Amino acid sequence: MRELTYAQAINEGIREEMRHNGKIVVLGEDVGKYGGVFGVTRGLYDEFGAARVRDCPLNEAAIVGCAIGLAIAGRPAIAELEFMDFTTFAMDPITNQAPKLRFFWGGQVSVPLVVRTPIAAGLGFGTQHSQSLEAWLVHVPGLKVVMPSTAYDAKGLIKTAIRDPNPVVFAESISLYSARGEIPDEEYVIPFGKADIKRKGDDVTLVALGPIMPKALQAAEELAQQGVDVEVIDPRTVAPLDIDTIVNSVKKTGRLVVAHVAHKTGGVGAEIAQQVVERAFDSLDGPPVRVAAADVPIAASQRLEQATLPDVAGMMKACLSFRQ
Amino acid sequence: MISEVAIPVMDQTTETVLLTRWLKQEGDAVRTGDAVCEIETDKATVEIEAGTEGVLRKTLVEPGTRIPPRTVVALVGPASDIVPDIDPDYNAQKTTPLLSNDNPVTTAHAVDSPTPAPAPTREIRISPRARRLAETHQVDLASIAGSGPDGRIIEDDVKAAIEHKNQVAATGGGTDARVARAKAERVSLSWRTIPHFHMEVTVDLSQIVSRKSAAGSRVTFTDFFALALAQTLPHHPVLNGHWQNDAQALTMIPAIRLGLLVQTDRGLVIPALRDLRGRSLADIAAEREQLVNQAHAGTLTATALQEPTFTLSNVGPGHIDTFTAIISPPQVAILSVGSIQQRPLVVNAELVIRPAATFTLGVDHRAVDGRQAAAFLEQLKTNLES
Repeated sequence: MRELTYAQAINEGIREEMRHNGKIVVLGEDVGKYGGVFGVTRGLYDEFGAARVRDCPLNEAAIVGCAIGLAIAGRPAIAELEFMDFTTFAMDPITNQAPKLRFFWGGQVSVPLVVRTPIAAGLGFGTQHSQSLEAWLVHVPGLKVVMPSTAYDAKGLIKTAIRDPNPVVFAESISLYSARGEIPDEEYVIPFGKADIKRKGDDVTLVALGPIMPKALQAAEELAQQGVDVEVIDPRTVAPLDIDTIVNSVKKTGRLVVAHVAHKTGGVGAEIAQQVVERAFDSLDGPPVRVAAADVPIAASQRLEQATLPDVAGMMKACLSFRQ
Repeated sequence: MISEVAIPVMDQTTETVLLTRWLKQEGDAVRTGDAVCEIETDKATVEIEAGTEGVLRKTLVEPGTRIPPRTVVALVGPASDIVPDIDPDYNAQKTTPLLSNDNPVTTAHAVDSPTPAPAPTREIRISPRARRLAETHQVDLASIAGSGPDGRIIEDDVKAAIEHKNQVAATGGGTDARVARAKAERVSLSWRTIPHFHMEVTVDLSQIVSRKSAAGSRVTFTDFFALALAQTLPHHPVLNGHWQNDAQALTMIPAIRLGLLVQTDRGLVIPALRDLRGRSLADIAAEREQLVNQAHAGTLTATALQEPTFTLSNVGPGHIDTFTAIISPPQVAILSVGSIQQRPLVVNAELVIRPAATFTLGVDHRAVDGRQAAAFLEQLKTNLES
């Protein structure tokens, strides 16, 4: 076992896959010599060269569009978009093209595309650099959406994403890039649609997505001091969603809290809560509770941003809301 | 029109009552107020009266059966009306009467505007998980106080109720045991949930003592105190009502149904006098005498066992200076009257010896503030001394 950061783990996953498969191409702004705006592709240019690690102009639609073309032509493509907010520039290729081509061409093509893009919530990056837009993407059939919260998960999941013959949006967390985790020496992959129970508990089920996971675990530890035993679940992939693991947990605890840094209205938390209500209504001991960003644009001021985003206290309060 | 005869909710802690016998049989004519059957509660034997006139069309419960409050036990109505098939348990489980305009049994029964259920029903808020558990263990939801948000019953509450039920089953339950248990539950609930505070005033009772000797032997001090309360309470409505745990709010009640704490061989009973407003001393005395006799004999009527709006605890002759009775929920106040004794009092700047007693008011601080309690006691003192 070694310790790697979350960013290094993703880098290692991409590197291993690029060694396995000489056709894989990486595209993005400054992904080459510079190593990516957050350093995730560092060293790939030196190992694999300019033909496989390509710097692109500042045009997200063109980056993803090219990547789709390469993917269709048999070159699995990994496109990096510097912030998840910038997926909006590439919405047509991400939502209208990539997930639909295989379908309307009757299976004649596959689209082995990974769009890597990080969530910057909580870092004071301002209104157009701080959003977590997974809810926009899970709404589109045919897109897979991954939100790893640890170095170990990030490496195992990026490898699965690259091997997947269908388009995957891989939503990384900038706040976790420097978080360290143990990585096995041997190769491993993590299947999609398999949630991970990050902490076992009997009293409340807390489902947390991506960047909020460390705070969710902190909330659980603080609640344990108060005698409330929280089970923390990381779905790891929100599409496909491992609802079975969540439902089984709620059948045990009777209480569901869903936390994410994305805005509350129309968020993935609402989807998870509703699926649990449909599947485990009789097991609920109270209404599911969402802990999410307020429905306002994220401010550049970090103080205002912190006031907007869900925090440890908010999750603790939600977990305790089932009693008077 | 067919009307229901149902077991009223007499207090918060009665889970079931025993239907001991039918006093009317199917086919008997009944008038409003006729006793139809007899039940035994933890505290007394009670006759259940018909609320309307007609024929006792159907009895729904066999004698010797234990049933929860709100159970419909009989149907009364004109001999010609069709009797609907109903499940006697339905009213115990549901909060809306089955026989209602919103929910007719079938059109063939043509049942219209029924008598409302005699018991006040509360909406039961409960989580699906708790409901499922309660159904599996046949727990009466009406008897559970919810500890979730807005008083919602949650799983832990049902678990506690099941545990309680099992303990009761284990310890058995003769009448005496049930009475003792009911009292234990009630006082525990009071002490656990009601933030009490107390305030006391010493009252010169020389006027009352002289009036009592003029009024004859059947009138007691309790009757004078009841009369004074009837005159005082309407000006202090916050003291006369019920605290609603669900809403965390006080419901003020215009009628003054004074509960009298009566210590009987079977235990503590709090029968209530009918609305005291506008009633004479003699009238109050007569009803009080009847109630106390019935309480000792265990033959109180359901009306007398309905929840009082205010309780008077009078310790009677002796040397008890003061005491602080605890409130009987959902009421918000109780008045504890110490023994009447010759006491030194200062009247018009002179030290005199007068018959006097200390009146201690206990109130639920959620509903009543100190200023309100003080104003009430001041007026009560004035009324008793003038």
